Amino acid sequence: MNVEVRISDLLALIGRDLSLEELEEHLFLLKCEIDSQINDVAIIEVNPDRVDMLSTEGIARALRGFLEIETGAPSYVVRKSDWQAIVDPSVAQVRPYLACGIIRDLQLNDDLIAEFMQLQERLTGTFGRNRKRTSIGLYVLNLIKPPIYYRTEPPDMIKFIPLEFHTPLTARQILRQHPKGQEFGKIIKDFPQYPLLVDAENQVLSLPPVINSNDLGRLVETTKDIFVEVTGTHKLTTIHTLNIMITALAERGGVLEDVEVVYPKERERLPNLSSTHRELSLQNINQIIGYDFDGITVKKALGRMRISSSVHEGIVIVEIPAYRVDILHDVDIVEDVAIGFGYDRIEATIPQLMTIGHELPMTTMLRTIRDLMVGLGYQEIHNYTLTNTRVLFEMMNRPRKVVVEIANPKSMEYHVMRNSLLPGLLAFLGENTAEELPHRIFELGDVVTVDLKAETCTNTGPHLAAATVNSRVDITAMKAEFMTLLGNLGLSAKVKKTSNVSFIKGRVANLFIEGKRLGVIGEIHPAVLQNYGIEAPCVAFELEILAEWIPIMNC
Amino acid sequence: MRYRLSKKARQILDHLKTTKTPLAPSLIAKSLDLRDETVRSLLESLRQQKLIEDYETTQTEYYQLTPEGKRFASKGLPEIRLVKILTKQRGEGSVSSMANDETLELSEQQLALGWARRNGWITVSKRDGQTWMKLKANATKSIKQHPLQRALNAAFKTGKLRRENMNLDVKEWKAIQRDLIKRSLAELVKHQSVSVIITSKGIQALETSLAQKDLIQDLSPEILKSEAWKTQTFLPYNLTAPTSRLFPGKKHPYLEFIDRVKRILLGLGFQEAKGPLVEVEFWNSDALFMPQDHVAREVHDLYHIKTPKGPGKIVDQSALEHVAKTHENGWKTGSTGWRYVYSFDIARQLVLRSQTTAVSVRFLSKHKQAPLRMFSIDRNFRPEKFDATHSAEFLQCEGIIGGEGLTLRDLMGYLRAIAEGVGIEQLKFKPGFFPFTEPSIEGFIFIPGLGWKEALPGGIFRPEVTLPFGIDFPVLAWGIGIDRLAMAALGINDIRELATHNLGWLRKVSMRF
Repeated sequence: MNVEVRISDLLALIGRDLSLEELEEHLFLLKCEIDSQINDVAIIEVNPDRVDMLSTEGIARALRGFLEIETGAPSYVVRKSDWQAIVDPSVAQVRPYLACGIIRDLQLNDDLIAEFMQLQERLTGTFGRNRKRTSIGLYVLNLIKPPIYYRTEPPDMIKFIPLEFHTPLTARQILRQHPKGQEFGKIIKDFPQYPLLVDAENQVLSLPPVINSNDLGRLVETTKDIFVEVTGTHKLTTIHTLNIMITALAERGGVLEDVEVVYPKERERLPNLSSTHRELSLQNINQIIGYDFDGITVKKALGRMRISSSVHEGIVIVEIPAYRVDILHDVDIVEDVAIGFGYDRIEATIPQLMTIGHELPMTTMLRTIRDLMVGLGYQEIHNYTLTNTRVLFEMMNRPRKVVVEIANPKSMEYHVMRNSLLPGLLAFLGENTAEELPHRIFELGDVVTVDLKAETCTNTGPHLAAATVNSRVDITAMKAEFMTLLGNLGLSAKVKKTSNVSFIKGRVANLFIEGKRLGVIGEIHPAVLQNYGIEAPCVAFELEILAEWIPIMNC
Repeated sequence: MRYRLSKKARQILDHLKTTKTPLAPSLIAKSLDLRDETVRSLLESLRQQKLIEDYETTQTEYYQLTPEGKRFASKGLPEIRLVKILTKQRGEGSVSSMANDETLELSEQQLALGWARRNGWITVSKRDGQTWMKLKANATKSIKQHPLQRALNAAFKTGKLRRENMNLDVKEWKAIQRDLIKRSLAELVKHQSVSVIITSKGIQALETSLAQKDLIQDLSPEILKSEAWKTQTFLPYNLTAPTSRLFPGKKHPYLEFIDRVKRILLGLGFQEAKGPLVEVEFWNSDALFMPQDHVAREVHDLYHIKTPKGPGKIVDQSALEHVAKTHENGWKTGSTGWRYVYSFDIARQLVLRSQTTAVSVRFLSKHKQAPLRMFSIDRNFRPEKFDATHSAEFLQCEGIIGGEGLTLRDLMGYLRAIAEGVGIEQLKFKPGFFPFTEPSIEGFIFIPGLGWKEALPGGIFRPEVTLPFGIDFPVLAWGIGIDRLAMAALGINDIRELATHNLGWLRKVSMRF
């Protein structure tokens, strides 16, 4: 995930002057990378687990720790306010959770407003699962009259001026006409009633998760006090989103105040920015990283990662800041110890583990087949398993079979999985008419067939196909090669006449091995040659390779 | 002077002498039933000895369609298809609305727009921040008689395009030639052939050489038996003459590269594993502790399957239960879990495998004894448009190392050993992120000319991944950006060329890499 920062702004927040190289080096060791940089603007790539670093403020906060300018968990003071947000039972079916907070006395400018919008978009795009799970709204505090009400209303009853528009629209119109409505409307479209946030005077704040009001939700340079609201379908994520958003705002100064969110059966004061406790053993940390760190080293490393800790008798007690939503397990703390210690300082070791390497017996057999085909003078080719029904069936003049088909293809050139190799070989040959004859090619690769009884309703397995194009071709010569190949694999085949529309009538046969029909050999029909653009005659065979041919000794 | 002529050279001279007309090499080859290349190389040697001389050079030229030219011959030029789409939409439409039309691919849109505009078929304007196209009156008629399309169609039918095949004036022909080359739709093939006649010196040489039949040309069993070689002289051959091209059977260089990597990993004590290309989401993502609403599991990052509809089966019922509980509340893994309601229906949905890690975790579910080392090199799929750096189908090389007491430092050691094994010398580590490992590492390798590139990801499997399968020892996981390494080794800079359709390239590419 990329974050756009102004380098001067970032350095001012860090409070230390760094060269671009130094910045890059520190970010690298903190899981980030400078993706590109033009003048004062840099694009920084942040790993998706650290959603708290999706802003200049978040990156600066982490770097201040890493550079030991300010270590341990940052503390945020939240003052009590008498603001309330009342959640109506009607939202329970649509988007049940709400989290709010207030920040006062901010010094805004256009750059900062753009910065906040960026964080809001990134956070709801990733952590908020494209607003499905959470969405955020910011409002000019002094335009709103508490308490706030969160409830649902029929789409046609909702009417307000959405952001970037000048005239009031109904919710239904917003979903159709507003760009954000077109993008995010699908999240609420099918509900009979839409979620809505209004204030005590019934002014609309927002139609979450789609769009905010242009009257109340447009921050300007003179705005000082902001009301922050997060709605969502997952309670913890809703609270975490608020924590990340509001602590980022607080990194710019200002005073935080809470809001009491009142549910039908419970109430809570948010944001709750007190840190979480966790305990793990020093031994556990050392077992994973592979060093014999003492308490002081661990405490220092965690401090650089903005985690406060104390160590008593081999137990590390950590305080995790409220914006660190990526800590699910002790191992997440262990990684922070390693990063805080410095990946560049960790020395590699190699333990002596006794294992014996061996390849799959099928790999061994396939290599034998490749060697034999090369010995017979064939050039190996490699095609994708993804293909299309035109190449697979229509150009072969073959009736369509059931094959694995993708529900969300990016292109109709690649929308099914091949069940046979020969069409890919013919397509290859059709593209090489300018190349000197003869063309002798083969492919050995997996095909996928539908088998509803199988675990994944399909079977994946190897086929072999070969084709020769020349000014004169000889099907008996190719049959001799095929028989030679089988003989060298300790197998023998029975060849039985058949009819097959892809081949010339009377010049095609099925291949039976140990009583099973496993392939076909023949001279390609001129109509098929024409379909693929092949300008000279062609003989070919295709054979299914069975695992049961693998010699016992090999296992 | 004595001329030492081979039997075939004599045959050629004799033929030229009897026919008494200038002959083209291909004609000589046909009459004497010799191979074209043989005749050409013999003629070259006769020419050097001044026994024959060139009589007349004839030059033929024609255009031959490129794969793209062929495609446009059968599908129609993109700009013509664009006009057809617009005609269907009552003469206008936005560029973004074209995305839904199957007859015009996204990659062809710019091309279509540019040429339709240059041909004066459409006007383009901005409307509501969108690029809006409108057909001009003449367009529908002009595409019916479009000379370039006619030329492509004619070339497609006959294989060769010459002006004679087309009913065109010089100016029109010139314009078509220019467009064919500029748009890489066709290549100009020049064919040169020289007819030769025998010189008086040649006639003389033929006569003297006929007199020296006692020179041994081909050593035969008869000569060996009769020991005639003891008394006769051997006809000397010219070994410095150029030879003809041969096309031996050859392995695909990319697959050969992968085979070499496999052998290196076998040497490092890894055993090979494989899994199905069509997977259930359980193995592809759930077992790797990726929550079911994870962004990487949405339609733009994962191919879902329409046919067969599924659901697939998950045989290991207890593993399924454990993974479900781990997602919901962490189960006995010490994790908080993702705190949502796990869906067994999603777990059984079919997808195209998007990561080889699915193979690693399938392997772990059946191999629960330490120590273990496993690798897999196989195909994976993600919804990407094919371009120079993206491929919807790609190979990954991944593996795991399991054993009591393994650490992050050991993982770094293994990554170094694997990197050295495949010939990488410069390597540095930074912390990384993968949903299924913690701590995680990203190994950067130095590729001359490209700089530091991410190529060796790794990490220790999270307890949420291993404990549900009853694995209680650490499991280190690693990967190699195998496509990137192969491209560097083979000197390729377009990822699509790993599955090239260029036979000429395959024939001449060096296998020494």
